[in-house]
This record gives sequence, C-alpha cells and structure tokens, in this order.
Amino acid sequence: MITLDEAGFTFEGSEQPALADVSVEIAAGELVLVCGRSGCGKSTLLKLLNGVAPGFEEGEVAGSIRVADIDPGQVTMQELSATVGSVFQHPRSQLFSIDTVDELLFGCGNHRVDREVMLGRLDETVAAFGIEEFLDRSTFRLSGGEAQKIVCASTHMNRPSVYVLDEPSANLDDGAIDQLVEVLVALKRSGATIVVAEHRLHYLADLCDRVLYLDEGRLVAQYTGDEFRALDDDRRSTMGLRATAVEQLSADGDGDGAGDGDDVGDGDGAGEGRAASGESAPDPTADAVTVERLRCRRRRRTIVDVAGLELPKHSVIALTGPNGVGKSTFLAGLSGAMKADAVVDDGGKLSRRQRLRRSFVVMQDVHQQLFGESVLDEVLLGHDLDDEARLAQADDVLTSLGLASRRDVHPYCLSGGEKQRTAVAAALLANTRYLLFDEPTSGIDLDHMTRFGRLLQEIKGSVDLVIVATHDREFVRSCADHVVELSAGRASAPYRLR
Amino acid sequence: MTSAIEAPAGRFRLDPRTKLLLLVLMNVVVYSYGNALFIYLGVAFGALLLVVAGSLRAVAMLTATYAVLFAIDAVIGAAPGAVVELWNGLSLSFFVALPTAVYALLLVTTTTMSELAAALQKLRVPTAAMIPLLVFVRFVPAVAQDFRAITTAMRLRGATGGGNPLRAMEYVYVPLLLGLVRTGDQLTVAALTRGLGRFRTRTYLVEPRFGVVDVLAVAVMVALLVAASRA
Repeated sequence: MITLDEAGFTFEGSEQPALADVSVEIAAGELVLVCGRSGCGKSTLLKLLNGVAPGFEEGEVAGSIRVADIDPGQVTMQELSATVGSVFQHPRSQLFSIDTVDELLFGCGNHRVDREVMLGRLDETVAAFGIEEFLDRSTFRLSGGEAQKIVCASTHMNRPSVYVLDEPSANLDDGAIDQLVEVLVALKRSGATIVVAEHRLHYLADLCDRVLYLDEGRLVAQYTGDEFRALDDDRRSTMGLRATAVEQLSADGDGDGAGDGDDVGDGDGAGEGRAASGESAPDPTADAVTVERLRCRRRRRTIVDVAGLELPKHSVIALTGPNGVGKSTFLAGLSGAMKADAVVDDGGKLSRRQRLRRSFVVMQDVHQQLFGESVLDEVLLGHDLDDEARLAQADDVLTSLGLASRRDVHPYCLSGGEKQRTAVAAALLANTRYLLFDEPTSGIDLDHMTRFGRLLQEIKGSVDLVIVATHDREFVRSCADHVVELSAGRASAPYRLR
Repeated sequence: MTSAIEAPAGRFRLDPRTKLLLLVLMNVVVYSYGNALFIYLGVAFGALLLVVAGSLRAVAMLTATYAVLFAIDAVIGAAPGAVVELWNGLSLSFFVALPTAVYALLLVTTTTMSELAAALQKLRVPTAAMIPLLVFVRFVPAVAQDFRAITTAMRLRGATGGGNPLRAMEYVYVPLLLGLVRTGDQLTVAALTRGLGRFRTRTYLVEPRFGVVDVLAVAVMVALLVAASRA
C-alpha cells in the first residue's frame, strides 16, 4: 500500500534534511506506529505521505514515495485527500464547521460525492464511530476527545484507503484515548492502512502490527508488534520512548525507582522532612495551604466544589482527573484569576487579590503568556531594566534554569521546553509563591518529560506550592510527590506517591 | 438522525449569498452616508436577523459592547481633555466597525462551511480566493479564544504595561499575531487535507437557494440605503 524507497525531505531554508534514506514497505491493512524523540522526523515522514510536504510546507523531496499507487508529489493535496486521510494534533484547529453534521459532510462536498452516497456514508460512519449523540451539535461545544472523534469520523467520510495520524492523543485524557482506541479498531476492521506517529505509546502498543523507530531523521530500527511489546523498560528509556503498557502508568503503583530524582533540588528541606513523615494526608500544620472552601461556577453551573483540602508545601502536587472535570477552573479559582467563593488559609485568610499576587499560572499554550521582546525583558516584565540588583538576580535565575545563553532571544524563537522555563523564571523573579501549571505535558517525549519533572523537583524548595494539573498518568507517576484527584468537581485528599 | 439532516431546510435560513450582500450594503450605509439614525436602524435589523437565526449569544455580545460604549461616552466628559480626545478617536473606530460587524457575525455564526463554500463557488469566486476566505471565517472564533486567553494571562502576570497603553497593546498583539500564524496554517492544512477546492463546484445535502426571506431581507436593506442617501 505504501512504498518508500530512500525517501527523504529537506525543508526550504534548511541545510540538514529533516528525513533521509527511509526505505520501508507497508502492506494494506497494517497499523504502523512511528515513534522517536521530538524532532526525530516522524512528523515529516507523515507529511510526505499526506502531501503536506511539499504541498504546503515547501522543500526538497528525495527518493521515491508511492501511496496507494499515487506519487503524492505529483497530485494536489486536495486530490490526494480522497485516498489519504489526515488527523492532526489539535482537534480544535481541524474542525471547520459550526455543526457536526456539516463537519462530517464537508469533505464529501469537496470531493463531489453524490447526495445519495453522502447520506449512505453518513449512516455508516455514524454507526461505526458511535456518534449519534453528537449529531447536529455545535462543534464549539465538544470536549477534546469528542472533537477528535468527529475529526476522525469526518476523515472516514471520504473513505480513504490510508489514514495518517500525527500525535492524535496529544491533547486527550484517558477517557478520550479510550475513544480514540475504539476509532482505530473500527478503522482497522474496515481494512484501512493506518500510520500513527505518537509519543504516548501505551494505547497503541497492543494495536500496532509494526513499529518504525526514527532517530535524527533516519529509520534506525523496525519491530514487529510483538518484538516492540517485549522491549524492556531500560531499553525503551534509552531510546527516549514513553511507557508501552498501561501497568507502567498507574500512579498508585509501588513506585519503583520513582524516588531517585527526589534529591536533585537544593533547600527543599520541608519537602524532605515530609517525605520522612510517612503516609496519608498531611497534618493541617503551617507547611500546608488550606483550601477551606473553593466553589467555582461557570454559566450557572458549579464546576468546582472543594472543601477542607490541605495542599502540602514544597511538594510537587499533581492535580489529576479527566478533561473537563474542572482542573483548569480549580487553578483559576485558587489563583484568583477567576472569581470564586473561596476561603484559602496560608498563615491567615487570603483575599482574592492576595492570591492573585502570590500565584503564577503557567498555561498550556505558554506562548500566549510571553509578552517580552527578549527572555530577559520577559522575566523582568514591568520592572526597571536599569536596576542592577534585579538584573543580577535575573541572570542568576536564568543560569539556574539553563536559559543564560537564550537571554537576548525573542521568546517566540524558543523551543516549547524553553518557553516553559522562561515562564518559570518569570514566576520566580516575580516572587511567586504558588506556581501552578495547566496541562504542561501535552505532546512531549520522554526526555522532555523527565527534564520537566527534574525542573519541578529543583524549584519546589523555592516556592510554597507547586501544582500541576495534568491528565497524563505517566507524568504523574514519574514526577509528582502528591496526587489530588478531582472528580465531579470534588477533590480527594492528597496522597503521597513517594 | 433523519431529523438532524432535514433540519437545515426547515429552519429559517437566509442564503449565504444574501448575507454577503447584506454585509456589502451595510458597508455602503455606514461608509457612504454615515447617518447615525440609519446606521442604528441597520444595526437593529441585523440584530433581529441574528435573533431569528437563533444566534442569541452574538446579540448579547453586541448589546453588551454597545452598552459599555454608551456608558463611557456618557461619563467621559468629566475626564481631562487629552483623555477625551483619545476616547473620541478610539470610540469612533468602534462606532464605525460595529455596525458592519453585526452582519459579519450573521454570516459567520449562522452559515455552515459547506453552505459558504457552495455560495462562493456559485458566485464564481476563484478557488485561490475561496480557500483563504473560508479559513478566515473559521479564524474569527479562534482569534476570539486566543484573545481571551492572552488577556487573562496578562491580568495574572500583572502585565499592564506600567500605565503605558501602547505597551499594553503590544503585550496583547505580539503573542496574538504570532499565534495566529500558527492557527492559520493549521486550519489551512486541515482544509486542504479534506479536499477543499479540489473541484470548481461541489455537491450538497441541501442546495442553497433564494427564497422569500432573502427577497424581504434585501428589500429592507435597500430601502434603508435609499432612505439614507436621501437624508
């Protein structure tokens, strides 16, 4: 179905090929997983298959590529899309229409599918994907998982023989991933050939027939599904790959080897002391922030209703729960960004204003909260650039976060991880006491995840609270000290992981 | 399920081409004649169409914006001269942009992509212009979302530009514009990989057709235009 012969691609304006010398044969009906570190070339490989490169992103194609007997370079992306269906990372920037039925029919209209055929396909697709309940709903009202399901379904409406999915799970929680698995099973059953690039592997490991492992733009290893599932943890992590089995993710497991990153930080005496004090919820002592009450409402619905929650200080607290359970709202309410009925005690009751001043929320799209002209300007935002003492302090913080060499670079030119660290640097310099992260780990590979976890451990001593809202169980297991679970707006008491 | 498919035909629906025409006519009313009475009549008519089409949120947004503008206008006289000057300049752009924005909202919030694509193709708009146009329409709500996220972030960081409004604007626009490039690219790729613009014409479930409501709506707008030109 797909034949690549020494295929490669060099983006315009770049000297180095993003992908080189890939020769591989994929049979009809196979589900192939493409994995490797960020920047290994897996997205580029997918773009060659669906014509996005060189159709949209210009550059030089090398070798030969055949997809279902078509040379993707010889036809337009639109024409190719009848044969190769694409699903991307952000479900929301792929939804085109204002209601779901129109979304599903959009592609058929483009491809001039007859009205009768269109209706027949609609029935089939709706049944295959189990999406009756979403029909005629506004696409703006869909959750992330629902949106990705609709995106997959509307790709299916074109009945392509090949599906190309680029990190489809990046923005999905566990429940939504289960839905994605259902979709993949349905597609596979229909006989389609599927190529998926992913960082989160656990949901695919059981499903895939073959695995391509890329490194620095080259195909360095190929595995059958069984061989890949048999890889041991050490081998997997030297390859920079994330967990392949669900058992490796469970947050409340025995935590083997989880404690080894704990002593990286300096001056986190309080955290260490806590670690020695043992199990169960922490005592309501001075080393905790007490959320006596936090009630947040949105559109006349109560989203978060938390009472008597003790948040231990100098500890990395993971706030978990499925998408839409109110994690972001909790952070917004706690930080004072959103008006809430809140009683928060930290050595005295805090007003919303005080909480606002003490908090810093690092958002999922970090680039939306970076306003400066350079990294230095960014971290000193609102402060006098001539203040010597402050400047020296800024340099210290930047150095400790590994950003010294990026000091004069525009924040937009930074990598995702660097942007995150810049926001953290800004928070530290603003004397932030509550450092809150909203889904910081979407679509990151093992190396970045480990590095981010280490960063949290290093800074937890310098701020009072570190809370990370996340639905990524693998991250929770590897980086968090305490876990608070949100469900239906209520929070569990924090339990220790290590 | 059948009901979901039949619904668009049964509902009150203006042809997308009519909505485009109304947008153009409203622009003429605003920019050629600039008579406040007729502009407000045009706004009221647009709001009525939005209500009938069921886009209540758009109406609420619009009403709120006008309320704020009028409120500031009423009290601004007490402020120092320079502030009044600044406000006059700023509010003028609002008072000019909002009336046409009503019709842009009508087009964007009540038209499905398939309808709009079909309408543009029937108007023989070339594919090279149609694709960016459709992406742009989808872009508007994305911009609104980004804008909200950025202003929230600014408030959280206390990034108000130290009282310098230009600085504050820069804080909003730089991340907004840079993010928009990315969103625009993603939307374009999504459209192309769904086949948008493959053929000169398309197929549809419900063919866009002019009806009585279209004639009525255009008649009202033309009457408004004629009256404005005589006034």
